[in-house]
Amino acid sequence: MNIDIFLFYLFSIFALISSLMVIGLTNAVHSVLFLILVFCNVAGLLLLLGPEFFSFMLIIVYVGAIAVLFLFVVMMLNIKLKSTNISFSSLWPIGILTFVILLSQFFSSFYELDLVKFQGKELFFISWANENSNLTNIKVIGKVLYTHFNLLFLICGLILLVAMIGVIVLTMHQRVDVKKQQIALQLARTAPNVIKFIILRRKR
Amino acid sequence: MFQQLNCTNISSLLFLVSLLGIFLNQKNILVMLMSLEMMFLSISFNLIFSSIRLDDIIGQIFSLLILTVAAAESSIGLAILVIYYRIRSTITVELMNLMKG
Repeated sequence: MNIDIFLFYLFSIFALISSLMVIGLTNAVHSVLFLILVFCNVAGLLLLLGPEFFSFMLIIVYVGAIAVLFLFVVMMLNIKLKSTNISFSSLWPIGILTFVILLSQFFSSFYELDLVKFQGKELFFISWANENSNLTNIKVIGKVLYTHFNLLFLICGLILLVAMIGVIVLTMHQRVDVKKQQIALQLARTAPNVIKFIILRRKR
Repeated sequence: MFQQLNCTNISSLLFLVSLLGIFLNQKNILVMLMSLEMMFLSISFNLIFSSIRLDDIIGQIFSLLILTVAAAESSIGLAILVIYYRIRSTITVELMNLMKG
């Protein structure tokens, strides 16, 4: 068995199982940990496919930023697991219907599109002279992103800036009932205002 | 190397699983946000695979944009979640009726 195909199936099966665990588990911390596993498996799939820059980018952004953010919020919120048994029978049919429609689309793609004929056993001839002078993934992306799509790149930066400012504005709240250190008052204290001498025993 | 069927299957199955997670999960909104992240991930994986298959770099550029939007979205969603928890001290989806919509 080819090692590529084996690794592909391994990563994909692990990704699907972990995604099922994410939506199935009740403990949110475990869900976040399985989410990290999903991200790592998809990054492995991408590494098998070729675009190595995107694979590592996925690990850096999703695992390093988003999953850690989720973990932070889960730890901060102190969620009590109380089971409220309000019947969600109104949402079951919509979910099942959408799922069945998309699943039937997915299975009909087997027959209608005749994708199975792609599975031929062609030999690959790699010319190493060409491979050696190939551009790498990150070079290609840089050459396209910074020239043709520079406006999109700037808009991306703007989106991130707006998100950052929005999050800071949303979560910042000043409490008024808490005693805090006031630097200006401390610095304004001088010795003659504070210290006073009391004469205890006055001799007559 | 890998067949087209397999990669599109993986991406669409991941999308379906996260869709089920959004619809069927009623306990806390955190898992719904995680499913949303997985949807973004599957779509971006699909785009990257298509860009490799069609030998076109624009799919990967789009995937980069999706990555940016996903990061911004998750941070803002979690911030709103934190504020909601501060007000109501619960994040159960069924009890979200502040707006009476």
